Parts: sequence; structure tokens; C-alpha cells
Amino acid sequence: MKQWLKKPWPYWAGGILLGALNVVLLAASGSAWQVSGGYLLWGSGFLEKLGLKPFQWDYFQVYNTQYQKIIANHSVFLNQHTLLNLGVVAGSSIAALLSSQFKIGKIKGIKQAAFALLGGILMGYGSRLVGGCNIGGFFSGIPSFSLHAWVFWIFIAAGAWVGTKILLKFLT
Amino acid sequence: MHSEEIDSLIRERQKGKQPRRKSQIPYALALLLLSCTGAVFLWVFNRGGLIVFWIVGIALGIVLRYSRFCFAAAFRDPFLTKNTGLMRALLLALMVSTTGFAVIQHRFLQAHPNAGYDAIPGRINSVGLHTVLGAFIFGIGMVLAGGCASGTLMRIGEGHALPWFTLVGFLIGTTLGAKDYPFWYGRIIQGSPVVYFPEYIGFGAAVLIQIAILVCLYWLARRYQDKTLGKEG
Repeated sequence: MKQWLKKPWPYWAGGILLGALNVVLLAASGSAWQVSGGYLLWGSGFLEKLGLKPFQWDYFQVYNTQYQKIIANHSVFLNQHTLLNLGVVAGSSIAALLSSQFKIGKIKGIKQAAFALLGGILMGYGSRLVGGCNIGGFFSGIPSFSLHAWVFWIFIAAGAWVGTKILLKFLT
Repeated sequence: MHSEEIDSLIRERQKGKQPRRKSQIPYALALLLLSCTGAVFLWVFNRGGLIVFWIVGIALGIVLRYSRFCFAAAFRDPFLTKNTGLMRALLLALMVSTTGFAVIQHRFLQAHPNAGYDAIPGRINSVGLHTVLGAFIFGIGMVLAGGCASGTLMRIGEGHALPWFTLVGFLIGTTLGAKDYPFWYGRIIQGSPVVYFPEYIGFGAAVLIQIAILVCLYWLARRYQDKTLGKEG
């Protein structure tokens, strides 16, 4: 039993299940899997707490069908996006604990932390231009038959290639 | 047989060296119970509307972690290690979801023939230079951070400290991007079209062509790996 719980699943099984879960989510809730929309609401929510008025930005007028209800209900921190994202964290924790591999990690150096922060900023900014991250914009965009997701695919690969070059240069 | 014996010998030796990790299964069960309590809470107080997101989120997290799925690695590994295993898994995922989404969208459009792109279930965005730029910097960031938007969440769940930095960066970047949106909207996004394939060729052809392309890409990825790493890789 323990060995069985420790064994990782093959990639292909993971892929098929992720694709199927995205279909289940769309069928049951009407919206496909997305991650960065929730991040945007949290970030804007923090700014609002600091006294700014981010929800008056044009962005939220353009995408009002998506965000209007959440902002009007003042549920910027507790909404469908937050639950989906927290669910992923909880599910990952459950899986890591089941295989007895949960481990509190430490930061190994300032360079690593700086790369993590910078990478996050780049991803965040990019996701607003495309209208979604690699999940909402790509993973849910391809099966939605939208051309933007195919363009996303080509250029995220190009970016990954450049990123790999940068990483290799700094690590060696 | 022979290699199995060696494997078991190696395992025997490592047993002595490594301090045996404590089982964390009781904690897993406790967290599972807590998650179920959360689900019941959502069911009672929200009439079921939000519970789907919570449960599917947990399932996604379990699958991501158990299959070690990582979108960043799927895009990066073909360049870095020449391994296309994750990319091929991603292609399988897209074949499954393409079929499922098609059924859902088709049924929706039969009921609402005049629905706008925003209303169609799924994600249909405009395409243009902003897509190119955004995806490109996203790709760079994803490799630098060593994980994408969902990978960050998964690794926070595993207990790592580093993805917290990525998360904070993501919040800063995405909020900044929303603030700057009028700049990009006025210059690029406003004039960009939305291209939704079924509108031009119907659902049947869109599904068939898309699946055919995904299958071809799968075959190409397999061949690329076989050629660069050999059949064993």
C-alpha cells in the first residue's frame, strides 16, 4: 500500500486526466481552468487595501463579464478563482503527504530567489497581454478552437528557448 | 531478472544509509478530511455553486503532483534534455479536452446561436502582436522561475519556499499588466481580430483538423526524441 502510494503516475496518465478534468470543470461550471485571473484579483485586492482604486482601471471595464460580479460582491479574495487555486495547493499537499514526500524547503541563495521573483513578474505581465496564463490562455484556449492559443504556443516555446539560454549562461 | 536483483541490492544498501522517512499518511488523511469539511461548508452555504471549483481544484492538484506534471518543463525539455515525454502528455491532454470542449461549445451554440465570444464556454481571445509579445515574455519568465502559473501552486503545496517568490512576482507583474492595459489596448489589442475556427469551417471539420494536427505533433515529438536520444530515451 505504501509503495503504491509513493509511485509517481506516468506523464501520459497525468495528461489525459488533466485534459478530462478541464472538460469536467467546463461542463459543470461553465468556465474552463484558469489560474492568473485569480492572481490578478488578489493583486488588485491588495492595492485596494492600500487605498488605491485598481478596479476602476480600464482592464476591468474591458473584461467586465468575467470580473464584474466578483468585484460587485466584494469577494475579491474569496471567489471561484481563489477556490480553484487553493484547491490545487491543497490537492498537491495531499498527494505529497500521501507519498510521504512533503518537505518544507529552504531558499538556497539570493540569486535563486531573484530568478523566481523576476520570472514571476515576466509571467504575470505577459499573461495580461495575452489575456491568460499558460493555463487559461493556452491549455484552455487550444480546446476552445481559438487561434490565439496556437500563436501563444509558438511564442511560449520561443520564449522558453531564450529562457533556457539565459539560464544556462547564468548557471555555468 | 538480473537487473532486478541489482536494484534490490542497491535498495538494501540505501536502507542502511538513509534515515527512513516517517510516514506522512496520517497528515494526508487529516488534510483530506479538512478539505471534505470545506466542501460540505461550501455546499451548505453556497448552494453548490462554488463547490465544483474546490473539488476540481483538489483533483487537479493531486494529478499535477502525482504525475510530476509541469508545463514549464513540457516546453523547456525538448530544448534542454531533448526529452518530449511531458510535451507528448500535454498533446494527449489537448486531444481529450478538444473533444470535450467541442461537445460543450456545440451544444451551447445550438441553444444560443447569437452568443458573443465572451459567452461561449471556454477561452476565446483576440490574436495579434500582443499575443506574440505576451507569450514570448511569459516563456522566458516560466523558464527563469522554473515553473508556470499552475506549477507555482503545486510546488507551494509540496512545501517549497521558492515558489512563494514566484507567486509574489506573478501578482506584481499581472497587476502591473492590468494597469498598463490601456497602453497596449490602444496600440495593438483594439485592432486585433478574434479567430474562432468553428465559425469558418464548422465544428466537425474544426475537431477533425485539430485532432489530426495534435496527432502529427505527437508523432513528430516521438521521432525527435528517438532521433536525439535513441529508442531507449
